[in-house]
Amino acid sequence: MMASDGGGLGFDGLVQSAYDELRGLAHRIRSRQLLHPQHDTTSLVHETFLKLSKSNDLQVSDEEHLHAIAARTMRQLIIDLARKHGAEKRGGGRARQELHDDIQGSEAPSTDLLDLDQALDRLAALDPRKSQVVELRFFAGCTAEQAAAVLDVSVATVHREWDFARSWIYRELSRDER
Amino acid sequence: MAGLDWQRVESLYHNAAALPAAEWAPYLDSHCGAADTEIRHEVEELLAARQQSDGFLDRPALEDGRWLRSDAAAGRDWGRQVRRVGADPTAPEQLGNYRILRELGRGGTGIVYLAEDLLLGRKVAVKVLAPAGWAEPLRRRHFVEEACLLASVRDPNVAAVHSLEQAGGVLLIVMEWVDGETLEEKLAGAALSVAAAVSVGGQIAAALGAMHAAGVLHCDLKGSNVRIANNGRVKVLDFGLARSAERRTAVGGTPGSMSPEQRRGADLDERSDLWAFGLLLRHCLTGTKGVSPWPAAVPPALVDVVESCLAHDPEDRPATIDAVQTVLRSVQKQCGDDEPVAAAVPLPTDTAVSEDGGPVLQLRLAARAHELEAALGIAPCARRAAATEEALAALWESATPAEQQLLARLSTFAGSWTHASLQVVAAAEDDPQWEPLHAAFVDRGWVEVTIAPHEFGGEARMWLVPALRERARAALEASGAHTAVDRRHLHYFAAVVEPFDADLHATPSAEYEQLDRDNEELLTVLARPFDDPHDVATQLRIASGLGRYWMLRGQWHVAAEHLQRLLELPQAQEASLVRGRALRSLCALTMRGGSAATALHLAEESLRVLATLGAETERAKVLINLGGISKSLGRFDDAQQQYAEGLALTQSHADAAHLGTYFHQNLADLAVTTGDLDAAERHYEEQLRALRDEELEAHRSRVHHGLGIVWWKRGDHAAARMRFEKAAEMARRAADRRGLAATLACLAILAEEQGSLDHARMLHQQSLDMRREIGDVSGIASSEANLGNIAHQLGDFTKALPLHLSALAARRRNADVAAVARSLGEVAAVQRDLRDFAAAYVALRECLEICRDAAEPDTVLRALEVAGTLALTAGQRERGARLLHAAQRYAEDAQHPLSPSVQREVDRYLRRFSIGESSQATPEVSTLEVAIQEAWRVIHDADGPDVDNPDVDDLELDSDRRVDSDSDDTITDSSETDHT
Repeated sequence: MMASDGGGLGFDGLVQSAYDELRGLAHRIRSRQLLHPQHDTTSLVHETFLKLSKSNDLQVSDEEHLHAIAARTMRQLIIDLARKHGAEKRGGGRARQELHDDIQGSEAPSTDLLDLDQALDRLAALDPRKSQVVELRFFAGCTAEQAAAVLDVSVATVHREWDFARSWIYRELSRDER
Repeated sequence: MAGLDWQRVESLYHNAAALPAAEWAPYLDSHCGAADTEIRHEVEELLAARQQSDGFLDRPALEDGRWLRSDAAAGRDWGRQVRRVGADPTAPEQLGNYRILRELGRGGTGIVYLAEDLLLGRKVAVKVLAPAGWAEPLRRRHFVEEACLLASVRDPNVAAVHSLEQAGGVLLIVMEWVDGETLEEKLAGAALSVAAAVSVGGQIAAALGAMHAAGVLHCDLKGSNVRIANNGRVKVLDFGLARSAERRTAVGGTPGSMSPEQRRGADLDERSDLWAFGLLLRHCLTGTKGVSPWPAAVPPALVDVVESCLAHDPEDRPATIDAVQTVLRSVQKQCGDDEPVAAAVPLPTDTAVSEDGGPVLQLRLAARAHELEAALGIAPCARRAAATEEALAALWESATPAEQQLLARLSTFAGSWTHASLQVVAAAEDDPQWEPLHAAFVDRGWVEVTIAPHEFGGEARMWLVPALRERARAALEASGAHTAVDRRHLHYFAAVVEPFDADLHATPSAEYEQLDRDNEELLTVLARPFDDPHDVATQLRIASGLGRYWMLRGQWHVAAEHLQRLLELPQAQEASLVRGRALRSLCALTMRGGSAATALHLAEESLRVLATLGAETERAKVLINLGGISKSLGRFDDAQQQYAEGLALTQSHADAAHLGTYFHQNLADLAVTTGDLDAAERHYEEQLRALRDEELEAHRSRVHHGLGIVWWKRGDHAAARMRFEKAAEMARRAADRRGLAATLACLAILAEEQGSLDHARMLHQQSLDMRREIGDVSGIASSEANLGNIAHQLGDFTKALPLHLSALAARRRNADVAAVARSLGEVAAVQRDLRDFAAAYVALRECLEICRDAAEPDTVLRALEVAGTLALTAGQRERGARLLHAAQRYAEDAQHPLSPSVQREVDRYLRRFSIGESSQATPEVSTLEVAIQEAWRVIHDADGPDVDNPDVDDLELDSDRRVDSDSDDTITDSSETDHT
């Protein structure tokens, strides 16, 4: 069913074994219908794998590692998506008619997600594990238990790291606002 | 940051976070040295962030619509939320029933928090008096005054006050929360377009107009006190400085937005607000707060009005805000005329041919948004709705009549046209034919749009409804008053009006006037000529729906007339589901506002029609009504049998299963009526067990209400009160104001029976306020009558009279004969005590007329008592004694005690005229009929010989229907399913 590569499962095999995990995510997204209408779930997941399998230089040691990579990939995808939104609003689309829209507020691109991404990078420089916890939980939708398994730490540690990281990012974003 | 001892920060953070917020500072004091300023600052900031980041990142990015929504407001939510870090870390976590989410702002008088109302589950703004003012009586008083001022202004452009409360020693003003941004935020850096500025200005002016009309000056109008909701509605808030216009003395203010006289500390009037208004509008138009040249686009009339507002001397400003509004309106009109009007726009749909040959509807909204917006002249939120509507129009031509019906209904849900909304429509329709129709729709690919669920019924609807209303109205006007009505437009109209009726149970609505107008308009449309039989069916269906609306409004006569007329038309005689339902609708209306005999006839005819069609679910619904009618006629065995038959139907037909609970409820209510309290309790308990967790709390509330009545009848007032309180709590949680008002009224009557008249009055008043909010006319009449009774008992006759007269007038309009008689009896009693005997006789005469055939036992006994006391007062001692004794005796015979207040009056008069228990001198009247004839003679003798000697038909005296002295407050029967 899956290509064997040396002694281990190999990259394709790992991807296959993680597939269910990611499909669960896909279903969750679909049921909430919160995605941009033009971007459907299946294609999002497919893109994830495409990126994964194209990264030839990856050294995938085990399934947990793959989870971490998948989470990173999800983050990239979501940030790309936010960038695209921003670009469309900035001028990718046609010039807007100002007549009725001005009540609604100017359509500045939503930069929050991009700001969050940058804040997360800064956090990674200070403490990589905290940034990983956020990636797993916020971008890949993992539970604290799953994140603990991936990072091979206790659930309590994940909770502590998450608590701190969340406050830290929140504070960073509020600084950006000021 | 980089140089900080990261581990130390972390450990301090975690240790402090484990403590209550109030202990953070002492903890940090003892663990940070003088050299640790930076570390301490970092930890404090993080702790503050922790306090305020409630919900932040809690849901994964893809599931939390705020991060990736495609519309304008998206993504800014969190941006706005995080802006406040660094504010008070010791903010309370919860105040009373309000969970504090974050601080919105603070000023001289108080701090405003965003909070969640844990009872009603909605967001509110909570203003608390700043801690410094807690101990100062004067500041507390001003705070309360502010709440009262705010509450006295009711206008869509003024943030509403929900309540004034006290929690943990802190005073709270609970206000409407307006999600959106402030005008100041919106103006950061840029002017608005003229059209937008005029729109915003017009709404602020409307708000000021409402305030000034209520005698309130704002005194602190500025950009940060004006919020623009996400739907574009402008709301004026923060009345921290507001003054009653009568108390014009100087107040503080915000430097830079104070009028010259305010800065001088002089007395203020409306024109001071006008100055601030002018300043704000100038800021909107020029983009700066200071004086700068007017942009060329601003029309001279607008420049003039703004500058006149800004005149230094108040005398030189416009006298009222109305004058300003007039100018704004004309500018707005002008703006509208000047804008290029787009020519006909192609349909925003791509119609292709799918594999099975059916049209495929795909709304390409994103690409066409600006075209639609320009063409329809509506805000972005409406464009989706409008697009869907256009798409519906395109589909209309190729649809079958049945599909057209579905399409028309769907148009109300256009904002979120999903499979889920289809199910909602299906459930609302409750028609077996609809299901396959939906399936066909889905199969043909006519349903493709998916929009986030939170938009369902929210913003989209807010924009959609007026848009649809206008279109339907225009189309109807264009079709001329005498031509046949276009079915599609009728549907649109009905679709606009109908969905609201369900909300009327819970929502205090400022929109009744508009809805009433729509409804009335729809009724006049229904009166137009038409000959297509299919049209008759449509109209009947719509009229049935309207019946439900008017029923909820407590004004059943309106729809009844039209239904009756439609049902009599030759085209409507064919047996059909629509006819069957319409008959039931009319039956339900007649039951409340007419004769039981007519209702009975209608129910039977409805059953006949439905039986030929095999519509068992519909039959079950009619059986609910039929049982209610039998009960009101005192035919309890019939009622029992009809409910049992209905219950059997719900058990044998899956479609009708959901009606089972109503039968249980009605069987329980019936058992209460027949006095079989154990059986009633059994039915209620059974119903309670059968109700599943996810079922509405309102339902449970009703059951507890019923159980309260059971215990009341058993004479255990403490147990009854406990049940009622539970029912009230649940109704409150379910935001079921109708049910809550009823339960409060029961609690009030309970208090009244125990002699706590003041407490009773307070509860009745609450009930009345609630009924006013939901616009329930018949409920309002009940509450007024109850308050009238209390005022009467307290000897405040002049207060009691208008209350009873007001109730009487409403009941007359409703043709609610039994209730009219009740009110007449009370009016007669009050007039008697006011010594206006002529008026008392007039009321008593009409009351007795009704007593001949349609009054309730309480009313008859009240009438006898009033007649007796009037006779005594008029010197007819023997007759008076006979009547009073008769009232007592028949009350005993029927095991129906006189209400305590009536009993007190009987005793009072018997004492005053020294009439003993059994006066041998006065032969007792032998029957109730004779007693009523005797009562007539009282009037006859007072009036002269022109009074007819009435025929007294047999009265139903064994039916003991009410628990409360005067109201419809026992929640009974099938109000939920009276109509489709």
